[in-house]
Amino acid sequence: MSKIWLIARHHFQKETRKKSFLFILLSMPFFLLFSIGLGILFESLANDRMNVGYVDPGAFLRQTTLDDADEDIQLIAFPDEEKARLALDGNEIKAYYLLPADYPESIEIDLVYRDESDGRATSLMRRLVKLNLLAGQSPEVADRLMFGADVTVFATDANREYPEGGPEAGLFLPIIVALVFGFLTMTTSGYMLQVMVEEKENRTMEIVISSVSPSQMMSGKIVGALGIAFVQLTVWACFFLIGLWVSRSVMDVAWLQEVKPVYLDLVKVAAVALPAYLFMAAIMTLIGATLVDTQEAEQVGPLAFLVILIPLFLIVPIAANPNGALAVILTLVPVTSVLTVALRSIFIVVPTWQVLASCFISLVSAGIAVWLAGKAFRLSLLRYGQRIKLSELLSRHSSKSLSAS
Amino acid sequence: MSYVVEASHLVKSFGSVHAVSDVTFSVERGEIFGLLGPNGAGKTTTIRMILDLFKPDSGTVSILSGPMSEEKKSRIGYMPEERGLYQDIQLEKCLLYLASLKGMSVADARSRTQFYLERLELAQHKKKKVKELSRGMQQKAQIINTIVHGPELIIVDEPFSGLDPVNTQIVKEIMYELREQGTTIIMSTHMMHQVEELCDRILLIDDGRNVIYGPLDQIRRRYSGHAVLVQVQGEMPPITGVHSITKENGALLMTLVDDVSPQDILTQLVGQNMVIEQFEIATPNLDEIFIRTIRDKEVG
Repeated sequence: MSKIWLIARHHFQKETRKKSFLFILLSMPFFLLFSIGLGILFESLANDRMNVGYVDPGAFLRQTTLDDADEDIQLIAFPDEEKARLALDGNEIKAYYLLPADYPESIEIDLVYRDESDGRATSLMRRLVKLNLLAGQSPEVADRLMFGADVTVFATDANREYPEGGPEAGLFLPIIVALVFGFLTMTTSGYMLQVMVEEKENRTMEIVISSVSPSQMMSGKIVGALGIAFVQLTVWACFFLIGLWVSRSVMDVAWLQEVKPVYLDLVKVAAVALPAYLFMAAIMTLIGATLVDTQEAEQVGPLAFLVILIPLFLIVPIAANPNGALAVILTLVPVTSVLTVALRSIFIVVPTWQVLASCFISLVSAGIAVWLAGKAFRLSLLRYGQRIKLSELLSRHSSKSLSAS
Repeated sequence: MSYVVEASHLVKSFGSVHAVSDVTFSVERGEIFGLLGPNGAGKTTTIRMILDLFKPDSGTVSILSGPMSEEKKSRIGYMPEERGLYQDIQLEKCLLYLASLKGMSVADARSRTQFYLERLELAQHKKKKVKELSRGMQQKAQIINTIVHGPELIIVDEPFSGLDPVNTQIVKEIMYELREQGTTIIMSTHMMHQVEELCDRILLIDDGRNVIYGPLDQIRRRYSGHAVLVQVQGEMPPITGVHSITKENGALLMTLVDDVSPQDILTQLVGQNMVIEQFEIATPNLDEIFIRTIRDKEVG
């Protein structure tokens, strides 16, 4: 069995048998469950059933139902305002609308309420009035005036189109993928740093590299970390898909029905995420090889997460010019590439060449980081308990004194 | 002569610090070789250069007939000074994992690990985490890790550190057995009496340079003073040609004047009809040689 595989398996088993791993593994689904529960709660609160009255002495409202009306709002006709007022005082209705007898001339309606209405009833009343005003018009004209023009925004320089209201919910899915990547990177970073520093502290590394080459050791650790990340992702994805299915199909959550994933965007983010993850794992191995104690290592993990989030802090210039120099540069830089591609995907279709270039840069950078980690590790063997500077890593002297791995 | 390790004029500096200035030695197959020196003499750096953990600035190392390779790593057992095992996992798992990195099959690793765990009285602790073991137990575990794969060459740094006399004896017996089986052992230690007991040849280095090198008995003879150890029945009669007399372990250590030989003293004793219980040329122990050499060097 390959020694890289043996090292990877060792680290995979060691980490996945820890209680903390189980905690991290289940924290994401619980967070998801909590979010969905919160969504359902808000929706159920928003969908409170209510009765609303109206008084129409002029019998203007001949048609009092709409095909797509909100079923939670019950419109009740009252013959006069006195009876409507009694119903309001008796809490039978939340509010009532008062149409004057000469409504078509006056075009004014009074709304009487005790507690402020949530707007749904007024919206329904507006549409009903509109429908009755349009009675007698041809169906095409009535339809256009009822629903307005169907405008699709098409940005020629962005190769992206979306309805007038703005991007659909599905376009935001890559951001969720990017944030999951960030979370995954943070946990992996913490793990890699801890492993490297611990092994340096207790000198296990010295034993290990008397059996394998430093590059085999580094590669084994990174493959092990990839395995851990794969398990986390698989479990999270399963929970996510199950949660989505339950919410959409079983619980019939309305806003989730409207989420339509743009698969090409998801593929692009995933394509950038894998090499970027490799790079982050390699860079954490490098940093771990230069650190002195576990306390320092614990501080660097969350810092890695902050670096990944840089594009979020720059969302305004990225959104203003998603094809601009800043957006392209952040796409090509390994640590910021994933979130930048996700953010840009909301507004544009990210060019394939940029995705490929980003993957290439991440992979090459990961290779360089692993090589430097090997050097840092050997230097650290010479000087237990001392931090190693970047200048020392890059100096010719150190490369001369260290053997090739 | 078949040399397992040949180090020639090794030099290694870390910035302005000269860790090893000029070290040259060879280790013969099947011998126990002692690498000695005061703290900071360059022993560990020399070992790490032998193991190719880092390259020398100049000089050459040949190990198992050539430069170090990945394949050779499985034929070498290495025990650094102190610690070196995963603290957070069970002892048995730790040993099996490290044995697998030496190319052992799972079955072989399991059976040989079990054998040595029993031999070193650690079998009942094999399910404990390494960090739960005492220092001495961890040291024994390190020794198992070093020898479990049956290496041709073993390099051990302070192998008896933290061991009680019983366990020290067990480890010594194992080292003798390994030597009998043809295993070469390089031992770096400060425990001179262990070196005297175990080692065939030694290298004493100081300030990164060879100071004493060769077979142990020859070195002791070389450093023997102009003195004899004498024990007789009854009271010692007056003897001429003696510079001074001191007591040492029940015997008398006679330092002779320059033109008097041990044979002259023996002749005088026999001439006076003394019953001689002990008469030997006084040779210094390694501790004395070590201290004298280092002091002489400092004075020089």
